[in-house]
Amino acid sequence: MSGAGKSTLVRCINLLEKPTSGSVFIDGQDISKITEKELRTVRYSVGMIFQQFNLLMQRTAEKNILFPLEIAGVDKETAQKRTAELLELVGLPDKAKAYPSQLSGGQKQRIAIARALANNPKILLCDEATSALDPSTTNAILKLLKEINLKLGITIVIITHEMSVVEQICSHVAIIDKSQIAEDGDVEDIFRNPKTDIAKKMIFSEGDQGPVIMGKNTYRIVFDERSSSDSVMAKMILETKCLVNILHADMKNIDGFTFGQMVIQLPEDELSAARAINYLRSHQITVEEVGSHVG
Amino acid sequence: MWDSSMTALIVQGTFETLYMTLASTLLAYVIGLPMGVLLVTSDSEGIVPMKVLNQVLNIVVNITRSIPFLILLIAVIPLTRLITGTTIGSTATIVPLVIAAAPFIARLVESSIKEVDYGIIEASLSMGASPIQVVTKVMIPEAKPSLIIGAAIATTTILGYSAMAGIVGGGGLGDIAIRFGYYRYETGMMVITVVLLVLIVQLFQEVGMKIAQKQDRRK
Repeated sequence: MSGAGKSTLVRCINLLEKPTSGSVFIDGQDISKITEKELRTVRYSVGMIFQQFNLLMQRTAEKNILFPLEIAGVDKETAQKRTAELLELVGLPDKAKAYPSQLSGGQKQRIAIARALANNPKILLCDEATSALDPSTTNAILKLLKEINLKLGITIVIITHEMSVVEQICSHVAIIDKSQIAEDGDVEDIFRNPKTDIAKKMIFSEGDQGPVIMGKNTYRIVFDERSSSDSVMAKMILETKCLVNILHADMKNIDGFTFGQMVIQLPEDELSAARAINYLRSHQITVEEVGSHVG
Repeated sequence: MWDSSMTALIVQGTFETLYMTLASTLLAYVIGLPMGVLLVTSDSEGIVPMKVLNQVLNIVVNITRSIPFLILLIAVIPLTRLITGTTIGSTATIVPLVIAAAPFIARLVESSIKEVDYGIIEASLSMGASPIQVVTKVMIPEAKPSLIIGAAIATTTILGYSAMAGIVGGGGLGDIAIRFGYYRYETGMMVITVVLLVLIVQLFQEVGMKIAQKQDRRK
């Protein structure tokens, strides 16, 4: 949600924003207690990309990537070599001499990513890095980030309001609401079983308006990667003879595991409803009654 | 009324005007550019907030800018004599011109640098840039087109001031205009000097704009 404090939080990680209280640890080092000069050295190893790209407009793509290397005092020859490598990595070797104003949004973000990686950071901070991009460009950038994460082993911290971004490339998620971490954990766990209202709201309202839940006896059932492969719903209906009304169904692929959720309405008849629930639970499927929290 | 000595006079006046203007602009930038940068960086929202320095700079700039140039010209005569050993001629005029122009330039530089998107400055800080690196590698290069336009404005303003120095025998085209056009009612001389001044202003302005446009990579 906007104004929750996402960007403030990410700016605290590299101390662009000084926390009024508390400490920031990077690799066991409390960076809130070190001198400005030491902090600058720490910042060499923490790359950052932004929603508005923030490239130097008066420098070519290549010179933008050279910039952090100049700052860190890397010698010219090494810096040139590194720049060429990075242009290759982000797939824009032919744009070396182009100015940012001649690049598209996606290309600008690729150059910004290359720039952020120049000094071989351990962490890459992304502040709404895809929010200014169209969906297909967003996907391409996310793919690149994932590749960087896997290939170079860089920890990536992504700030976003788009749950689809989290779903696509994150392994851990923390949901922030009104300056507080509402919920955090593995993406799979949170998506499968959001506990707080804000998490439920964010996960449910993704894409369409979310399921419209009316009436009683409404349940949310969650499949994990094991149960989504066999047709457990159909079997349940056949075996229990319970008439199920499917209100909402959504299947997602997270980090190579398929999981999905469904909102169903069971008959008023308590006995057959209980039978259905028992059947599902006996197949290790999470079933929970849902109130009218989705509006 | 017209002879070759007049032509020589005009040519000499033109050179004096150009000399005063360019030398003063250059020296005024030596003082004004760092002042302008400090005005931005020492601001409470700047990269190195320094409240006292910022206030002092603002007061100095505002006071100097509110003194009419003609008054300043006369008021700094002792200083002028101290520095140049004389109070008349084009070299002597450079002293009050620099004093008047430096704070004006500081404001021009300040506004140019403030045009640079703060996101870019923040990005450079996130990469570990020191304040000096932010100034020399980000603020000034990114503001370059705007700084060049500012320089064209500064030069033409200083040219106007230099003509005023003619009142106290400052040399240059302004001096000629006052001595011949005003004291001796030689309208011809007056017209020639004014036309020349207009042409020089046009030239500086046009050249400045052209360079700024060429340097601008934002579009």
